[in-house]
Amino acid sequence: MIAAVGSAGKLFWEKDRCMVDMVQFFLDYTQKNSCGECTPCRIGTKRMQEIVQKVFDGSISDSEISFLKNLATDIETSSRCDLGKMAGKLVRYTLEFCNDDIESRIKGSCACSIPANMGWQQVVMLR
Amino acid sequence: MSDIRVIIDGREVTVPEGTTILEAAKKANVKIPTLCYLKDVGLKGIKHDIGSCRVCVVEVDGKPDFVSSCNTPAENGMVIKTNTPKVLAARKLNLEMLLSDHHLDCTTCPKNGICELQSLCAELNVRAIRPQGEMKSLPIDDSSPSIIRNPNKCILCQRCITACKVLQTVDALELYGNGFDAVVRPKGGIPLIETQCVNCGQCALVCPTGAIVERDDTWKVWEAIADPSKHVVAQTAPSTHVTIGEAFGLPVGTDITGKMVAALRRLGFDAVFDTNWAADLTIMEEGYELIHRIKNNGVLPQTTSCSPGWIKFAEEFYPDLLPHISSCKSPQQMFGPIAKTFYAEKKKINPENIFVVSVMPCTAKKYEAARPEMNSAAKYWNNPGISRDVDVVLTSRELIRMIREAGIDFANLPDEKYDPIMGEGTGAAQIFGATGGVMEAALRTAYEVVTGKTLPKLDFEDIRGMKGIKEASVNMNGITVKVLVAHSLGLARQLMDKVRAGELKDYHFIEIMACPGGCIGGGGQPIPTTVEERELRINGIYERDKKLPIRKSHENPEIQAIYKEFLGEPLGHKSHQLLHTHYIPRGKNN
Ligand code: SF4
Ligand code: SF4
Ligand code: SF4
Ligand code: FES
Repeated sequence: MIAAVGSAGKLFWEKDRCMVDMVQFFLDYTQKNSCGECTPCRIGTKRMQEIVQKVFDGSISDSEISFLKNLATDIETSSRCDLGKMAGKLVRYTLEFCNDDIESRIKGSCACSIPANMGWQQVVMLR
Repeated sequence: MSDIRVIIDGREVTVPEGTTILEAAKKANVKIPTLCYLKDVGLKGIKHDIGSCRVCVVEVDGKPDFVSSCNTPAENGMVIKTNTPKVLAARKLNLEMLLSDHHLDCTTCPKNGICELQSLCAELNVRAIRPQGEMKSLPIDDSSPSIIRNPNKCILCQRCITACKVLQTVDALELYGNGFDAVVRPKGGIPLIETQCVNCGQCALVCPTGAIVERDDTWKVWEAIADPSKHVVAQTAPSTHVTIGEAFGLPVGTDITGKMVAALRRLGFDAVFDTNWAADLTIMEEGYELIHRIKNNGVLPQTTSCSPGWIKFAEEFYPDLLPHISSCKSPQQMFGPIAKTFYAEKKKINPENIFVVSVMPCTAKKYEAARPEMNSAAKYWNNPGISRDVDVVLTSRELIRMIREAGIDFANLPDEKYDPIMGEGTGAAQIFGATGGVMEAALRTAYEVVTGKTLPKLDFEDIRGMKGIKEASVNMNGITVKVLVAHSLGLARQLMDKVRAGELKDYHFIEIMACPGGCIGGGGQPIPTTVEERELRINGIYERDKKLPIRKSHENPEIQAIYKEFLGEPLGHKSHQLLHTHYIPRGKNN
């Protein structure tokens, strides 16, 4: 079980779900709950969602992955409130620490069978 | 308040506590780009700093994230960096995100050339739009006679909401929805025409993109000019005399009256007249109405009726107070029926062929001209073949576009004079263009009519300028006439609430203009229209007043002539037929 502390509480997650699922879930949550006022949260998290979708399709390119990191960092540092910041942070950490999950997703071999990368534990430790 | 010291890009500046990082940077001569921020929304003290666009972000030592400089107060000892590569990259990416949900058809956009989003892209050296994805595709709302909304160009800066809600207190617009689906829309998601929108256009003035613009009626005018059967006449509103030049590189507030006349002739108008003439006529009618109300225990205070945004505001929010409003039509709507009656007769032109075009500072004038009751000439002649009193209203911005389209070198035009019969205007009419002007003009005439004496000092300084609610009094034959002036509907609301509560019983006359600064700040004027621009234009108005040979409406020889030859007397039978109107209770409870 993993918990992430965000602006609105804790998120509990089954251990054997992969981080890409987690990211997609959280971005969806962000989009639904974003007040829509600030640019990074309103549009940025939508763009991240669209790129992450390509991970599932297996159609994502390396340059898109690196741009995703750019976006995530920007959204984390530029958003007006913690909701957008959290979404950016989550994507950035996933890209930094949970590469296995992403790669297996791209290859199409992950059917929620890969245990969450232990990197996530580092996530909660940082900052 | 004590001073604090901050270091911006290595330079130390001292600013008062409470200063934002943006203002502190300005003091250090460092320019930080902004998009959603407005230091004033037309009136000093009404600003817009919700920090939504994230274009003005800066780095602050010790803070892990960027902060928006437009709404973050500087703190003592802060070390701020405004142009590190990280900051520049973030600004650019935030702007690119906006562009990724923006229909970038700049070449055909009504804001092309005066769009803040466009110029910011140039400033920030945007060369590609990296984020790509779904774009919103919403219907254009062209339900209003005055304002067109294209939500696909909206960047959700919400400046329009602040203008409508805080400045005007109309509150017709809202932010709705979450995340990517959030939109700025008329309240309740209904077409703008069905809301309480008063067509003032202050939202269009502050919108940084092509998302809210005036309706463009220029082609109707080109067609009328091209029609040989039509006698096309122009009338130019007082405030336009000092604003049109801005678009052609002349200093803000320059008097371009003579050049505008020349330009209108070159565009092909058959006759060029001055709304100032009609403003003098308005003063005659409105001044006599005031005197009549004072003498006969009429409803007081009387309020002015020249500003169609204010009229709709009163109809929507103060239907119980409509008897306070002067029954006089606005100068624009006095001009129309006179052109199609008196002028038509004098020039022996079939009124069916006269086509009246107004050049106005105002988007609400389009709505006013379209009001069903504004067809007095057709009623007068009992001829449905006569078109509406005013056929087309062009805002200042539209006339500017026509002048450009025709390739006229405006700045180098010679000065030309208006055509006679409806072309002479006094200084009193000229000051209609600025807040307090109608009141001052009315006092200049009422005083002399009531007392039979010459007014010792023509200038009523107390009711001029961008101050809030203004007040003056003058003694006329033992009666102290007390007057009030409000500009912007937020201030008008403050006064009308007092009228409703019976607190202003000893006041006689209230001037209300829907736009801050009066017509010089109208919703159809050149963009940008900031407080500074408004002040410079006001100066231009009073300079022109001083220059004019006649400064009192009742001394205008063409006005004296029309009463002698046609109208008879102010408030007479013909005046009532052609120059007066009535109001309609609207609003939620009517
Ligand atoms: S709103 Fe501005 S950026 Fe957008 S299309 Fe129009 S001119 Fe271009
Ligand atoms: S035109 Fe005036 S009243 Fe109408 S939405 Fe714009 S600001 Fe509000
Ligand atoms: S319509 Fe214009 S002013 Fe209003 S939120 Fe959109 S871009 Fe901003
Ligand atoms: S200008 Fe500061 S956030 Fe938009």
